Amino acid sequence: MNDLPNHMTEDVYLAFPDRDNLAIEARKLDFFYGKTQALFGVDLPVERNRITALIGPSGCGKSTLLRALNRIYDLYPKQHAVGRILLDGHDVLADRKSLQRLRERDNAADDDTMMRSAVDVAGLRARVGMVFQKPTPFPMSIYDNVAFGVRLYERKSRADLDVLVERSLRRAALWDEVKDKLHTSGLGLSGGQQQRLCVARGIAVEPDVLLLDEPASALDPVSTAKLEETLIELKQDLTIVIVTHNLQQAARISNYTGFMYLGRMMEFSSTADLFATPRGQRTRDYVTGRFG
Amino acid sequence: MNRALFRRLGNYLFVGVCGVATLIALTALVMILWSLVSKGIGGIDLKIFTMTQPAPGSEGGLSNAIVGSLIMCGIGMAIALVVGILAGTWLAEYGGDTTYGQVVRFFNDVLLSAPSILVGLFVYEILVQPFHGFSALAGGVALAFLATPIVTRTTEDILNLQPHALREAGMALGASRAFVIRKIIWKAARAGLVTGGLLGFARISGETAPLLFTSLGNQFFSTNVTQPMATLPTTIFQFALSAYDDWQRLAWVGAMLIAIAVLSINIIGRIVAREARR
Repeated sequence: MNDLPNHMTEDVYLAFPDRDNLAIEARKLDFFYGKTQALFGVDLPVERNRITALIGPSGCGKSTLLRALNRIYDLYPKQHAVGRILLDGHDVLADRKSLQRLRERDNAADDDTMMRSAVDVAGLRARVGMVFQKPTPFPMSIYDNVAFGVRLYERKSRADLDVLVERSLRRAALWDEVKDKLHTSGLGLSGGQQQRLCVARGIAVEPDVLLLDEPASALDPVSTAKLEETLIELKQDLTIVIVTHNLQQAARISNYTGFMYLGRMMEFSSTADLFATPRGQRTRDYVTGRFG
Repeated sequence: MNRALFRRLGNYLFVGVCGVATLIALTALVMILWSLVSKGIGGIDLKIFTMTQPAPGSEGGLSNAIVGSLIMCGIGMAIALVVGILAGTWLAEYGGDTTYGQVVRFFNDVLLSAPSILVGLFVYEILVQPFHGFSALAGGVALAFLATPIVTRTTEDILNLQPHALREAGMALGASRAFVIRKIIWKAARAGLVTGGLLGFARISGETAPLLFTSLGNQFFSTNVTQPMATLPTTIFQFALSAYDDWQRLAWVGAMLIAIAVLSINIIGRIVAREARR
């Protein structure tokens, strides 16, 4: 399996995209579910204020990579990542255990590039929001759903909070549909509305990066179109990484696309290039629908 | 005889046996309820709730036993809800997979079916003998030992039913695990938690054995939890075994009151659970 051709060579990675303008970046990332390795030395550069799509057949590690970026896997004691994840240049995998694993893997001695730093996981998650495959509205009102994350970090006056909730709902293109029932349960909305509620909740804390794990797979075409419009609007203010099974969706909305296969990043380039002139045979087969 | 007919007969036989068994079970239940109501309804009046238990041959009610039952069930449920919900949460969210968690779950399941008289004897050893006296508090603690495993079990089960995605969504916003559990998971599992509490309450409201060694019973009205106190089950036990007709009549009324209370609690629990599922 190690001789799979990897088309994301170092020079491609260095040249593209603009390395000074990365919001978040994974370097040589391995990921383990217990003893099973799911990611093998994955590199992922994510440019600021752009949409980066991850595509690939089921089980290729797209979601795993996404879940590593905000360390949500920390919930499960048996899962761990080895490598580096840089958020604005700060390694979010710099806690003691992760560094020890990295040293063991790379046979590296203690050096200054491996300085241990305290990792504030809650702070990380405030800066890297996430929207899941199935809508996950909390069992509370629409208003409280959106305000939930904000209330974790600061005590705002009712008026300020009202403004923030309205702005978040507007940006998620949900305001007009819910403005008259803000204090009814979020569980009463349709699937598409619930998903946009989750987007509103995610952006209310004003994260730098928003991770979306197949956010449209449970939605009908109209809701999907609305969500896509929302994402394109949102990239003016933040950076988006989206996992999708829908190749047209990746082609429609993303600026960069990474093709993953068997836990490896096979190819990464601008979406136009990846779909028009894929370098690898597998990528070509996948984007033309010959396998996957 | 051909095969199809043989199978059909087999099927009828099976359905028939199941039907008869169901009928037997239901008949017993209906007979119990019927004898309770027919013998208890005649004795029910306002005095039951206003007067304390009488000497044989004179007028009286069950107010001391009713209040005692409420107090002891209250003590029992207060302990059981706090310990049970926290323990169940720990099993579901934190330590359920560890060896210690598995040991806790195993012993909880054992407690779930422990003979209640043993619980009574145990509490007698730790709360009655050392303090040289029966007390309502000891009775409440004994009841808590019976209700806690039920609350723990239902809490764990109901929390395990909550989707992982909900926890992840809360954590993804930067909330701590404990905060997510308190503000989101408990809220989502509200109906199940209420049901667990009601099941626990239904279980302990008719318990007699653990109270005989702990709260003892009291023929007078008392709300002092450090002293012996009457409860419906112990009073029924005492009156039903007596030779006096009026005491026996009161025992029937008490039994009917417990049955009505348990029945209404179960019905309320089901309605709450159904409402919350919507």
